[in-house]
Amino acid sequence: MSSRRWDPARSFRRFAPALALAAALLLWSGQAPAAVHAEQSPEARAILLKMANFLAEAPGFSVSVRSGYDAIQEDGQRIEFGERRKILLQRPDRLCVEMERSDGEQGLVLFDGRVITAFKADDNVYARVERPGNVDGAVVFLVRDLQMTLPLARMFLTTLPQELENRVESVAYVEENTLFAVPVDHLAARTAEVDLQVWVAQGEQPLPRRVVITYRNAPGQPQFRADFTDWNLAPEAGAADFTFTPPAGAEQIPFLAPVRKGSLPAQEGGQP
Amino acid sequence: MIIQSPLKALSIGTLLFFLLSLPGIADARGGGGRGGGFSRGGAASGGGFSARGASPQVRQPSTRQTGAAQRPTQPSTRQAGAAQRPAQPATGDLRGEAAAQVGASQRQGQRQETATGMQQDRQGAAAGMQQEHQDYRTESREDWQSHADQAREDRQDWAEDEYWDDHWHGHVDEGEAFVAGAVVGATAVAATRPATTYVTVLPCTTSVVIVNGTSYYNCSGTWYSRGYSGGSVVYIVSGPP
Repeated sequence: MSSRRWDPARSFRRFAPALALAAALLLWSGQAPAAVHAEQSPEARAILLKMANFLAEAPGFSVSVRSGYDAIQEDGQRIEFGERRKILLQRPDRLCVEMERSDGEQGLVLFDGRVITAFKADDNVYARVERPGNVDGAVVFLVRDLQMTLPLARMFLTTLPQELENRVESVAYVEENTLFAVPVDHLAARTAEVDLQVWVAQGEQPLPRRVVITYRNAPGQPQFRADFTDWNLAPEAGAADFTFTPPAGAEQIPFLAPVRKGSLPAQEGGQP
Repeated sequence: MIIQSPLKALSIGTLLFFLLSLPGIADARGGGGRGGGFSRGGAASGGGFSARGASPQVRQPSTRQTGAAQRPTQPSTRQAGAAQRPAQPATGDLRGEAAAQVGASQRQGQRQETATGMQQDRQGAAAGMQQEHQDYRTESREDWQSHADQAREDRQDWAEDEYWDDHWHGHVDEGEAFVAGAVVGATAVAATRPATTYVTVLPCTTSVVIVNGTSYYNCSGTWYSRGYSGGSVVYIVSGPP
C-alpha cells in the first residue's frame, strides 16, 4: 500500500518536462502578439500617406462626420456620447463647421480668412476674434488657444502628411473591408500615445470613411470613433457661407482663452 | 425547514440591501432632469491625435512660467560650488607655511622668508591662473547653461506644439482666463488683461439685467457677464453694469 501513496517530489520529477514545455509555450504565446503588433506594412503606410496627401492637396471639400466617444466616469463606467458635424472647407482661408451634440446642443464655427466666429444656438450668443491667415492657422488657434472641440483637427491641415510621418510609428494592413459603400482598406497604426485605425476608400479618391482612435494611456482606454459620409470635393460655396449674420436678439460675448506665450493675436488691426 | 429559513433570510436581506442601495445609485448618477448627470469630458472627447497622459494637468502655461522662474537659481548654485574650490589649495599652502614655522630658526626663517616669497609668487601665479581658469570655466558654464536653457525652451515649445490638439489635457472647469485677442465689434468686455475669473455655473439663481445689449447677473453683490470658453458659455466676474 505504501508504494501507492502520492509522492509530490516524485510526481514533480515525472511531470517536470511537461511543465517546462507548458511554461515555454505560455511565454511564446505571450510574445507572439507583440511580434504581430510590431509588424509593419510598407503598403499600409503608403495607403495612409496617399490619403493624407490627397486630403492635404484638396482645394476644398465638404463632408459629414458622425462621431462618438467614450466618456469614462469617475466610477469607471463607460458612457458614449455622440456628435454630428458638417464641415465645409475652402482653401486657403475659408472654413465652416456646423455642430450638433447628442443632447441637442447646436453650434457653428466660421472662419472667413480674417475673423473666427463661434455661435451657440441654445444660448443665442456668439463670440468673434480676429485671426487673419489661412485655415491651418485658424484650426490650430481654435483648438489650441480657444480650446474649442474640433475632432480630428489635424486631418483638416495641409500638414497632415508630415503630421502622420512624424507621429505614426507603425502601420499594419488589417483587411479589405467590403461593408462600406465602396471597398476600403482597413489600416491599424500606432503612435507613441494612441492606436489609430483608418478605413480608406480604394480607388482614385482615397478618402477616409471611418477613423477610430484609442487612447491607450488614458484611464479606461477610451475610444473616439468617426464615420465620414457625403464627401464632396467640389462643393458649391460662396462668401455668404462663411459670413456670420447674427440671429435676432443674439448677444455677442468675448472669447476666453488661457494665455499661451505668442499665441494670442494682437489687438484690433494687429498681426498675430 | 431548517434549510429553507436561512435561504429566505438571505433573500430578504439581499432584497433589502438592493432597495437601500437604489438611492445611492441614483445619487451617484446625478439623476433628475433629462440628463443623467454623466460627465461628457475625457481624453477621447476632443478626438485629438495626441494625448499627453492619464490625468489632465491644469494650467500648463503657469507650470512653464514657474519652471522658468526657478531656472536662474541653478547657475548661482553652481557658481557657489565653483567659488568654494579655490579655497582648497590655499588652505593646503597655509598648512605648509604653519608647519615650517613650528621648528623656527634664523636660517629656517630666511629660508622661510624665501620660501614664503616664492610661495607667494607661486600662489599669486597660481591664483592668477586659477582666476583665468575660473573665468573660462564660468564663461563656459554660462554658455552651456544658456545653451541648455535654450534647448529646454525649444523642447518645451516643441512639446507644447506637438500636443496642441490634446483637448482634454488643458481642460479646466473654472478658474482664470484671458479675453482672447481682438474682440471684433464687442459692445462690452468684462476685462481684457490681466486674467478674469470665471465660473461654469452661476452660484445662485438670479435675474438678468441687460445693459447696452449685454446680460449681467448678480449673485450676492458679485456681478457676472457671459463669456465663450471651450465651446461653452461661462460666467465672468465683472463690475456692475
